[in-house]
Parts: sequence; structure tokens; C-alpha cells
Amino acid sequence: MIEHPEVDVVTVGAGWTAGIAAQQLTAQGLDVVSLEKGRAQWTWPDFAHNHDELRFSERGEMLHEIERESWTWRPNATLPSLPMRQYGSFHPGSNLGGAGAHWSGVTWRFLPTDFDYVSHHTDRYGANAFPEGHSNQDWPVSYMDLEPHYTQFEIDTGISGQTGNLNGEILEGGNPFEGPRSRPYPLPPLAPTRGGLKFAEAAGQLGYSAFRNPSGILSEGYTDMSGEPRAGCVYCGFCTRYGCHVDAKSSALTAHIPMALDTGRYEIRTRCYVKHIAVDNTGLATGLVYLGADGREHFQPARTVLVCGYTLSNTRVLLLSVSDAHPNGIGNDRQQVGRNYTYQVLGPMTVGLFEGERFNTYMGNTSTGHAAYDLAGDAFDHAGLGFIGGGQLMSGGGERLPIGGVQGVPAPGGDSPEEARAWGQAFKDRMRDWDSYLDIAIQGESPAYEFNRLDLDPNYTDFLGRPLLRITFDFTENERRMYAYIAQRAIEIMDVMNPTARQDTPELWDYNIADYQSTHNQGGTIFGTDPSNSVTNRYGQVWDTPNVFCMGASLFPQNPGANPTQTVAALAYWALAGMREHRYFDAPTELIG
Amino acid sequence: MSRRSFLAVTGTLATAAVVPGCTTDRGAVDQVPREGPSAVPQPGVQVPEATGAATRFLNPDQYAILEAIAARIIPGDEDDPGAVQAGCVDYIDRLLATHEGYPERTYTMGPFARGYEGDEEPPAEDGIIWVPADELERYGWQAGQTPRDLYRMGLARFQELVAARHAGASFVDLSEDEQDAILEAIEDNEDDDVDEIFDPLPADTFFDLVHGHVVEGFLADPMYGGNQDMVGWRLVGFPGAQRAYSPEEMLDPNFNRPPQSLAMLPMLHGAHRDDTQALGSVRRRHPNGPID
Repeated sequence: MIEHPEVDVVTVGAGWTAGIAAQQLTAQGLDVVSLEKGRAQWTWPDFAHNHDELRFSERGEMLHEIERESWTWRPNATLPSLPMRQYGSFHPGSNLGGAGAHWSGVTWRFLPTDFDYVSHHTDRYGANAFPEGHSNQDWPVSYMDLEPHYTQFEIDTGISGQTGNLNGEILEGGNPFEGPRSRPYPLPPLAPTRGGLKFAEAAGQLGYSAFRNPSGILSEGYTDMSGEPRAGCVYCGFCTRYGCHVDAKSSALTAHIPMALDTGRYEIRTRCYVKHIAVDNTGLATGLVYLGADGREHFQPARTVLVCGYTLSNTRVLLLSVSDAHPNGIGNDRQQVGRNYTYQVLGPMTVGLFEGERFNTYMGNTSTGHAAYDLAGDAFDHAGLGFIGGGQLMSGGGERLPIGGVQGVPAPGGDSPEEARAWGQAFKDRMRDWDSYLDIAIQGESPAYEFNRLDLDPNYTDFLGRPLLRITFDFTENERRMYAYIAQRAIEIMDVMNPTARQDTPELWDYNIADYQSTHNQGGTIFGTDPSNSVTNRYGQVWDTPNVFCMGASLFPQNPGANPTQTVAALAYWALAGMREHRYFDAPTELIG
Repeated sequence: MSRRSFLAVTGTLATAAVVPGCTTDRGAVDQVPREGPSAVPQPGVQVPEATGAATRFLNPDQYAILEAIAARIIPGDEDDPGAVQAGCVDYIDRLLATHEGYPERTYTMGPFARGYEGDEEPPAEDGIIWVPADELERYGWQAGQTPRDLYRMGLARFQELVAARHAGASFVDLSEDEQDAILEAIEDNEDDDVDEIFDPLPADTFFDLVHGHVVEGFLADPMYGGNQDMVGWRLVGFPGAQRAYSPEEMLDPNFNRPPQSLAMLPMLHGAHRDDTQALGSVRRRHPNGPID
């Protein structure tokens, strides 16, 4: 085992949260090392020439190496778990910048009622409103706690959007349901699409407020916190699953990581696969044990460990960190690790074909579409509806590419076998219409349940012979009712858009791990108010091992109907501010609060 | 449900050890020697350069059959090119010539799953995880074979099915209607003779694999050997790899730009690099950054 000199902080991974932490901690004079399982990648030269659907969208060049370490899944505890052998449901990243290098850029603040979830719904609908077996809980932070950090992140990285609520004043054209913002978005929204405008007009006729997506993609040139200017979006159409060749997409690669490196106090070691967190005989962390790029085992001692991997990796590294002091893994002395795993309801509810119209959907990106929040969260009265939760409606985003896109064209002739089959002359004719359809998709909440959780798999291992993480998850009746209600509203909007043919998905499917839905896996190392309901305190500090902090969506107690990245980033800012204010690094083994 | 999840039924396949088709009694295709290193799936797509030589993986008979199948999946002629004119089978041949032909990053460790019908789980057996057949589709791709294995096995069984139904004829000799009937039979995988001949490989898995590769060969960047002369992109009206569009172009219902492949896209370096740096758009590789 190769032992390195001790540093102040070592991080698992070098993505969004590790980059944010490295930038802030090195600015305070601390020495930070990040261990990244993937390789180095930079806008120049790595993203300069990547407009290749086969290599990036179909083959997942920027994704985590599933061939070395996968995940297993089962719908419930009565069925066996099997590994995800090829990419399906979700797309964690690898390489410098992590999933934050290939994300779509859609950048939401969660709604104020997403934070006081249980108390809010109990107040409004009574304690019986919650579905059977649910394990939702209030977040240990409020929207107003996070508001300054949401704002800071938006200014530091350059977020584009149309402000809907400025200090309580509702503004035309934005999201009227968003929480109050102390400052407007620093940049205007991205350019709209034909499809997005068509959806917004139809939704408006039915009384909904559709608005342009907020985005971590610059709509104009912007000088971010690093002092370096970055170009605005060039709408090239290669965005999600691609790195941005002009640096318009915000990620830890654009400002945080270069700033940290500039201090000379930050080191990133790529091709280093973290095995576990080491502890001393009192149970405190002493650093990280990892497989180095040289194929040998290394130990990086550190006073503090930040667990900054993807949601699923965070849970697994805690569970694999077994010692005499923590026989069930770090953070798991009270069997809390793996609880409240959630995953969004995300997919098209209705697809409309508009024969003879072209929407140029291969330009732009997801963020160039429109959204409506009228059916999200608790924006509408749920009394008598038989479910809690909601979902946003989304339509008109870009970056449709042909190999994936031709499969989504609805059959105009209806369901006759000849028309519906994906081959032959009818299929070829339909391929020509690949740019003539629009869908209305839902991004819905995923409440937490006792029976949906993460643990270690008994049968399957990674390339080093260590157990894979096992996901036990399925949708429940509550989400089925929620989905069916919102799908009918989406179909009504699609009818106003007046397509020549329509293909609906009016009922929620059984969850499956085969189809891509979203990379919005959340929970597993949730934060809370005390060790009986959580793995960490409200700063992500692990209750039973206080010199370990978790960062990322693994902290979310349950899953609002929105992309998680901005809240992931804001929580990192919040935790780092907490460490500063509580002078944590003066006594890195004490709980702060 | 997407076509991709259709592949889930390959969960009924177990390891090569329980696939009798891997022995030599199933016809010529199964006898194609295994070549190259044992499969370690690679990220990205690494396809050998075209050399103008004959095929790399497929023998001439297999090539002809696949081309006839591709012609029914995306029909065409010189005036309205389809899969044959696009060179889709060249794409497949070159793909299969690489690393066991892995089409995607794949976790390949056992045990493997098999489906069972009815309420009773079969007795425990080493290396097999039994799953109710009607649940298997939800688990996605569960095959233990490489794509090369699946082409070898699938093409041999396909030839056998055609011969059994058409008095020893080959697929290339059939009429278009007869060819479509065969393809429908393997796509649906519901006829007894299909099931029996393909067993234990589900026929629809083979169909789906070929179908997916034909679509890729038609619409992927031409540098991979298909989509020749960008006929696929011209058909659907896709401009291919472009550096930029303007906000006005996003809203233009009559927008039309000739397609270009990645090979035609100017690199962002040299003079171009200076231009883009003047716009502040391109970051240098960081001087203190990690190198690997």
C-alpha cells in the first residue's frame, strides 16, 4: 500500500460538489485532493470535436464504466435482483466534472413546499393524505435557508432564465409558482423553439402559465466567478451526454476546478477508484483507500473526507466502509443508509404528429423548451384527488438526434400492425417525419417509501469482487393516480395544439430499469434533524463519523418533480458556509449545528 | 415501450454453457471461429478503417442474407436510397470485426437469468437466477453472449427457419412478401416452429439486434461505414455535425442546410482556435490539471 502525505480534505470524485468544495476550501488555505475514477477531460481539446450521436448518445462515451461497476435492481423484495448490464434507466457520469459535464443544464430551484413537505401537506390535507408505507420527511433546511446559496450559484456560474418571483412580486413571463428570489437571473433565457412556443400558446389558452426553462447554459457571453469570459450557447444540438465545445454549459470544469487548481493547493488524481473510507479505532475517518491508476493500492490520509460521488456511489461507499467501529458501514450505526431512495416519474404522456410541419428539434437543447408548473408540487388543490404530489409539464426542447429520434415518431395510421411496426416502407416514410412531432412530458415527484431502498447485492460484484449496490424500487398507486390525472391535462393541451395524429400514454408504466427515464436518482444518505431519522445532519455531516460529509442528491429525503442539479450545488454551498461559520476546520471531529 | 427494452427478453438466455447452439451441430455460422481477444467491452465505438477489401466478419452468404433483411427493414433504390444503398451491412460487418462486436458498454459477470412460466420457481441450479418470465422485460438486457455470438447463432437459426418453411430455399430467393412474413415471424416470436428452431435464443432478440444496427448504419456518422453519401441524413433532413445554429434559424420552418459529417467539421485549433479564444469560448487544458 502506497501511503501519501496527509491533507486537510480528500474527496470521493471530482464532479460538481467536489469542484465547488475544492474552490471554496483552497481559497480558505486548505489542501485538497480529489480522487476521480474516470479520466481527465477539458473543454479544450476534449469536447472540441464530439458531435457524434453513435459514440456519445448511443454508446455513452462520457458515462460511468458500467462494465467495471454496475447496479442491480429488483421491483420489490419478493423478486430477484439482476444487474443493469447495458445502460437504461439512468446515466451517471465518469471523468473530470462527473455527470455535471454531460448534463442537460436545466436548472431549477425547488419549491418552498418541497422543503417542509410533510408539515405542509399535513396542515393542508391532514395526516391521512399520505400514501401507505410512505417515509417522507421534512428537509432539515428551508427554502429560505438555501435561497442565498441558490442565488450565489446562479451568479457564480451564470444561469439563464426568466424571473417569476422577485422578492414576492410575481413577474410576467416567469414561473409564477417559484419561491421568492432575492435577485433576478443574471442572464435572460435561452432562445425559444417553435415547438416550445406552440406548447406555451396552447397551454395558455387552457389557463396554464408556460415559461421558458431556466438553464445552466449561457444565453449570452458571461464572465463567471473565475473572471474568465465564456461564450453563449450556439444551439448546436449536441448537449445532454456531450461536453460543450464552446464552454457555454456550466459545470465544475468551467470555473470551480480551474480556480482551485490555480491556488496550487488542489490536486486531482484521475483513474483512481475509491474502495472505502478508512477509520481509526475510535471510528473516525482517517482517509481514503483506493486503487490507483498504476494498479496498486494507495492510502490518502486526510483530516476530513467529503463523499462527493454520484448519488448511488455515495451510498455504496458508506456501506463498503465496514470496520470494527462501524460493522454495518459508515453512517449506518442506526441502519439509516440506503433509506428513502427515490427516482422521478419522467416520460412523455402524449406525442403529437404535425404532418407537413418541421420544428428543427435537432437544434438547441432540453433547456430551450418550455415548462408549466401549474400541476407541480402543491400548486393545485389536491383535495379529493386521492394522491399527493405533482409534476411539471415540459415540451419543445431540442437536441433530438436521428438514431434515437426516428424511433419516437407516432404512426399516423393508428395501430394497424403494418403501420405500427418499426420497419418496412411505412417505417421509412415515418422516418421522414422525425422532425414533425412534439411531446408533452411529465417530470413528477417520487415520494419516499419504506420498501424502496438501497443495500448491497448478495450475488453480483464489481471488477474488484466487491458487492454491487442493489436498488429495490417501484412506482406505487399514489404515483399512478398522480400521473393519470396530469396525463389527461397534457392530452387536453395537445388537442389544442391540433396534431394530425396523437399517441398517448395515459397510464404510468411499471418502473423498469431498461428504458432511459432520467438521471435523477436521489436519497440513500439522507440528511435530517437527528440520528434516528437520517445519515447526516443538515450540513451533510455524518452523525456517527463527524469528519465525513456527504454531498449531492443522496441527501434528499424525497424527490421533488424537478431536475436536481441546482439544489445539489446550493446544498454544497450551504454545507461549506456551515463549516466556515462553525469554524469546523478548527475541530474537524466535532458535530456542527 | 421502446424497442430497446424489447431486448429485455434476452434475459431468457443463460450462459454460453447452456446454449446448445454454440456447439457445431447448428450449421456453418456457429462454426465461425472465435477470434480476437476475449471480450472486454470498450467505451465509444472503434470501427476499423474501410479498406475496400471484402468482408471482415461475415462470410459472403451471411452478408447477402443480412443485406436482404436490411432491404426489408429500410427499403430503397437508387432514386430513394434505403439500407442497402447506405451500406448498412458494411457498417455491421465492420462493427462485428471489433472487440467481439460489442455494441454497448456491458457488464458481463454472472450469474445469468432465465425466465420460468407458471407459479413454481425451478429448482436451484448453479449460475442461474430464475425470474418469472413476465417480469424479465423490466430488467433490460441480460444476455451473456457477445454480439458476435448472437449473430453467429441467429443467422444459422434464421437460415434453418427459412429452409424449413420454404423447402430448402435461402432468404435471398424469396419474394418480398415471403421475406416480410419471415421477418414478422421472428419479430413476434410467437410461432411454435420459430420458437423451436431458435431455442434458446429468442428470435425477437436476434431481430432487434439486426434492426438496431441497420438503423444505426443508416443514420450514424458516415465515418462508421454506413450512411454512405449521407443518404440517411438526407432522407430525414438532418444536417449532421454542425458547429452552430442561430436563434432565428431555430424558428425558421423552412430551414435547410446540407448535411456534413464529423470529418467535414473544421477542427477548433490552429487559426480556428485563436478565433474562438478571442470570443472567450474555449478553455485551455489547464496547466496544473491532471494528465492521464
